[in-house]
Amino acid sequence: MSVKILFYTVAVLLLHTQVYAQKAKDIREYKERAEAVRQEVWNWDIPAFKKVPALPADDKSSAIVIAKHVDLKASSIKKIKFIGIGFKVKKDLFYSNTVREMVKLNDKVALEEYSQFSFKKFRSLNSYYHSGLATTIVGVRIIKPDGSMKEVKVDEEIVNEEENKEQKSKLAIPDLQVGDVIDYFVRVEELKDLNSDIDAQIFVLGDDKPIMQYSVHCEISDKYFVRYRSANGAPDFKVKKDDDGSVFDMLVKNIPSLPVSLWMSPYRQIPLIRMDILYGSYPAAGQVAGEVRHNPKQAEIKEAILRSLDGEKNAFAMGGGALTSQVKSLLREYKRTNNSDLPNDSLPYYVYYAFRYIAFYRVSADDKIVVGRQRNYVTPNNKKFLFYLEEIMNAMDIPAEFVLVTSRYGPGQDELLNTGDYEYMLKTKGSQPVFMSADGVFTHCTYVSSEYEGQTAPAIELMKSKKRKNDITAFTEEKIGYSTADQNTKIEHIEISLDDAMQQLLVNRHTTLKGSLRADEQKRLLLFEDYYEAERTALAVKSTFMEDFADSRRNRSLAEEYTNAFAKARKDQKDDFMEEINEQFDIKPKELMLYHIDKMGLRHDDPDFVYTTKFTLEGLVKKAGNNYILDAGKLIGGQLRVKPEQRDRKVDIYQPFARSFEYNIELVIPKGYKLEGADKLDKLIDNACGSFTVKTTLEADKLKVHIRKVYKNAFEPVAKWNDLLQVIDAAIDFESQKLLLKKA
Amino acid sequence: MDQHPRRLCLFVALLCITVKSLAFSNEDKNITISEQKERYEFEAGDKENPVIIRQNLSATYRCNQFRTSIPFVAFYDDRSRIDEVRVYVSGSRAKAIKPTYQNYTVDDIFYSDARICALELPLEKKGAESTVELDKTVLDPRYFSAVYFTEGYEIASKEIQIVIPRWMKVEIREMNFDKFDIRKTAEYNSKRDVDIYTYTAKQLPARVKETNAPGPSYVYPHLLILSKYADLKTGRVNYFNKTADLYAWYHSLVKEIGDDETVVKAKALEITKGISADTAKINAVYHWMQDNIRYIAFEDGIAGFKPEKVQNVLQHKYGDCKGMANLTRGLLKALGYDARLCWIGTDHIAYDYSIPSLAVDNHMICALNYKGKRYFLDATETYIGLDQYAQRIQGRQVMIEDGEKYILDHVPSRNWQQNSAVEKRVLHIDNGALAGKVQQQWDGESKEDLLTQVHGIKKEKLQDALLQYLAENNNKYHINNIHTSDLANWDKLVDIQYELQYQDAVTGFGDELYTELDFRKELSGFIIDTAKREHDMLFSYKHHVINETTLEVPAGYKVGALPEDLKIDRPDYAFNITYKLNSGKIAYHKELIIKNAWLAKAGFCQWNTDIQALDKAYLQQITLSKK
Repeated sequence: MSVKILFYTVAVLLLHTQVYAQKAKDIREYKERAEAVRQEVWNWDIPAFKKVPALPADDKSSAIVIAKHVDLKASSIKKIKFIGIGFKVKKDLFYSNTVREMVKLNDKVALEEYSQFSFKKFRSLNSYYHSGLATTIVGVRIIKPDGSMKEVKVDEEIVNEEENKEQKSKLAIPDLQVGDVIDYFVRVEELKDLNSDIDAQIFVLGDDKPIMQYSVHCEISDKYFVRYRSANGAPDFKVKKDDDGSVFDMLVKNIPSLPVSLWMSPYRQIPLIRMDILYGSYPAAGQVAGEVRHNPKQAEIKEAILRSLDGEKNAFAMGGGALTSQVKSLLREYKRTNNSDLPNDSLPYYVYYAFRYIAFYRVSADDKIVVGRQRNYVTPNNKKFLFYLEEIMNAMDIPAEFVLVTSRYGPGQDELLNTGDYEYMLKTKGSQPVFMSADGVFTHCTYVSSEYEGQTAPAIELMKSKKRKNDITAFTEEKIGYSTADQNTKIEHIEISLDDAMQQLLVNRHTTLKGSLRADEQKRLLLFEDYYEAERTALAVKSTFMEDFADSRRNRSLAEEYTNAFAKARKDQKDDFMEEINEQFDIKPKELMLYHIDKMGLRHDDPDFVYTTKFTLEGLVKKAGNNYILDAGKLIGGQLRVKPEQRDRKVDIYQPFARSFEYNIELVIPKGYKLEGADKLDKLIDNACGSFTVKTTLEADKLKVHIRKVYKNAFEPVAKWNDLLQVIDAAIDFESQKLLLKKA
Repeated sequence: MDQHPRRLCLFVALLCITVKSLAFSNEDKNITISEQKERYEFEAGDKENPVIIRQNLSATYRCNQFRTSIPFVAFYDDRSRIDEVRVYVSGSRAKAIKPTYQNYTVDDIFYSDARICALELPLEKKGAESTVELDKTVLDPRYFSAVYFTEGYEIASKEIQIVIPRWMKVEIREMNFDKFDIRKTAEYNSKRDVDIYTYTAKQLPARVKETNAPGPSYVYPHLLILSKYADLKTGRVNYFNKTADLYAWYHSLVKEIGDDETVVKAKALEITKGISADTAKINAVYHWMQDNIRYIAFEDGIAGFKPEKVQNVLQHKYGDCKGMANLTRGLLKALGYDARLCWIGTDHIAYDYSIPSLAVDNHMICALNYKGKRYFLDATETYIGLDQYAQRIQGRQVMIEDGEKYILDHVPSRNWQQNSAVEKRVLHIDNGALAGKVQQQWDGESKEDLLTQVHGIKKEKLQDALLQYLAENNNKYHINNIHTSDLANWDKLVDIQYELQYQDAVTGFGDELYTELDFRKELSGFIIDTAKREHDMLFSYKHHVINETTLEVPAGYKVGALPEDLKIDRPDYAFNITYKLNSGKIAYHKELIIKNAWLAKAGFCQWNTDIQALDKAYLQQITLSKK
């Protein structure tokens, strides 16, 4: 054995010994540390935790948070590190976060919620760039109704499981009963590289249970820059300086439980404070260690996003080159096939669809065979998609700018904290700008997510030259409009007749979905085989991947395998249509005779998703002597129900988007019967928030019913809630409407 | 509860991208097992594990239609180990594919020593095969109780070989072989002094997972391996030669528990303080156990068979079935009653104690002998009364401790009347609404169902949720003046009374009014898809639904047409609907009975026909015509 090999073997052995010793040492140290932390936390000088206050015996809450305290510490510490050939003093980042809650449990639901904990004592923070370790310590005490207090011996009570090579500890809280108060904390301590990120902090002043006192205490060393924002009426911290850095304190009392869960935007409606803690100074980014910045100005975030955009653009530039070649190659093929150039104003569209094809539709021999419904649910990394797309646009001389938008369900432009609050869109410049983004496989040009509606967004075209720097003054403002109820609509033409036995309805339904109502059904019902072929043809790609495989000796068998997989997906499509019908009518169709996609809605110039179904339904015709009663109100399916506790609303209404549902029903009156009661169906409710209208026309052998339900706006102030309820209630009322088929 | 649950839940939900996961389906037989061989050989072990079983498995998966990859999973636990796993893809050893080893977590089990060895097995193209070879050792023959023939995929060729040295006494029982072509050969290898039993089967269908289906031991072919004893050089080691050995082993574990009777006595006296009647004391103990001890499932090695000490369960206020049975027994014994521990296999298991094996049971309860009658108390059934029994233990054979001996008995069977859900309404027509008084009562398992839901709702939402439950989310169904019996007392039936105003329940056309008196339509549309369903159908319990509604015919109207009656009476179920007109009142009576909770596949067609008839009856309306 050579010396070299011997040395290597010893080194390996040493390494193993070190890992083993480290583990045993870790566990020993963990116990000591856990004991010290429990001592510290239980001795916090916070009066709210010291005594359980008298609470009304008839309290209706499932649980009450008597006190909640978050303690946060961030500092840097010196640590001696073994680095293979010797020892080195290294600075590490130390971060600890402790959440302590004292909760009165009033029922079995609350008992169940707090009866088990699971946590990882040790969690590796090692990655390619960083190294570190997170340690979690849990403490639990139970206070009985007689005031006696017992601490749970957490280290003795836990059981350990292996989960992804790390140990997970599970704790079933002993001696916990309804009527008890549980006082517990979870502390996470992280020791990691200085350049590691510290978790973004969110202090949410609201929960599904009332909170009698919520306090926060943060001690952050001057080695860090702190940026925070209070939103939606949250109070500010009291900030003071001490020798080591800044100390933040906040105390809020008597926070009621969250009001409703329907149509909320928590980031914009619940008082909260968000905080970033960043190590060191980075003057170019306006980051100064030791500084505390409350409610940063929008300009500052714009500066930061500009730097971020620059960096990202450079990062994606390399890959963009290869993709540009592929798009150009597709374009050349298109020109050859069609024997003509594309008109200039069509180029952006072609580029978008060509890139979408490359990203989602094109198949290579190494791909896994995924051609069923699950393929339709692939979600792209929108940023990555857009940066590559922008590179390609640049290369093809199509000027485009990034639009930095915020979601209606995230913080608004005036409540930004950091660049992560922005979502990206692309917009071509010129007289006919085109918005571009990628929500999924079926997103087309001009699509703007309903989440961005009504938002004002800064937009900027990134400079191509390295010499010219992008500047904050170059930002323009883009106002994203609201889509209308007509744009997001479902229109159905439903022909209905009865079978001879007067038991089944024969339904011939033609469905059109527009705007934001399309995507969910496209994902459920479209087949990859169909949309691949449609886009391949539209882009004039000469051969299918199946043909390419069939021509290749290596991949010949793949063509046959794809044929098999396509056949299976097509077979499964019937179940998807059955599911769709069942969902709408709340009745499983007895038989589905026909299902057909008429238009896939893949492109901006043909955006509607249209399909036809023919099926039978049972259970909607009732016999009454010689006559029959038809549950006419159920022909449009179940309507939204507002729960009793949701009717009394005190907060604004964030609906997903304005939308409308239109049903044109033609009911064939069976021979030998006379139809009665059509006039009772007629209804007209129309207010500022929405409308519900039913209009009937009786012809010789046919009843025509036109039903339309409209939610006019994506956002309504709470003052309009009753108007909205009026529309919702009218639709519910319609559900119980009936028609009589009377034996003539 | 995970770390920082309170702070994060709101926003995690908000920010997550939802990707629907669609279950992998192999209905089209893209993957089949072309050959699976399993060999089990009993060997002499060491002092700690005198007899071990070496298992060698080789399973070859074939891709029939299109390339994919499939999960391969093997189970092991504290009494077994996976020694080696070898993977071959298209004939070549794939060393890069390394299995992961971790705990097997199931939602309703808090902790289990069950672990899985898992890997992703690629199948490279149509016609390609991949093979997994696995070597495993079972360290104690007691835990090597069954070998199944079927897998999640159809198997073209299966071989199970069991090698038993003559010093080892093993009985092999062949279960559920009747519907399968399984052949057996036996040979004696004199050189090694072993018997070799080889079972071969061709074209075994894939196992199918269905809800409300019987446990696998009823359905799939398997071998029960009954290890009786080993005559080793060091002497005889007894396993489960007879049922008495099984009991002796259980009893030895019970003797090791170490209950502290003083602590439990103090608690028993506290629970029954001020109560003098015996039955009231017994009820109080059972009720206290159900209400105060949370069921948490532990399945951990030997602890999976040994009940927890009474003082520990008492202190923890939680326990698994064994711990809860032991504390129930402890509390009753402390009060002077004759309470015993019982082992029982629920109706998920096809066997009884004629088979001496750990595969026979999966549950523990407590038996009470009182005044010549035997009661069984199962505190894991949180909302059931004394002497009422859950379907899963009804009629099941039970092994009751009796010192060094044991008693075999059966938990009583109960018919549907234990579980009656009765709704009585007296209604009149009030301006297009049906209005009047309603009384609803629930007993047995229907009561347990209701109370489980009620106590699963947050206190502040309970009233609204209860109203929604009674109204079945129908916002036209207005309930007022509701009175409920004590929902924290499940010793009696639950009784709820209220006033009803059911808006728009009556529709007027010309001179006629139309209405219907069944608002709930239980079992409507319960058609079993005979093309897809593979297994018999198990109802959760024997249901019994009674609905009695009286409708006063309004002044100036007469009954134009009454719906037809329905009478279906089968051995396993009955549906009865009658309408009677008497003294200006229409009396609607409906009774649905599931007499047997097990509906055999052979009865599906009849069931579907009967459900269609029930549905037809539900779709009939009453006509009231102006006089």
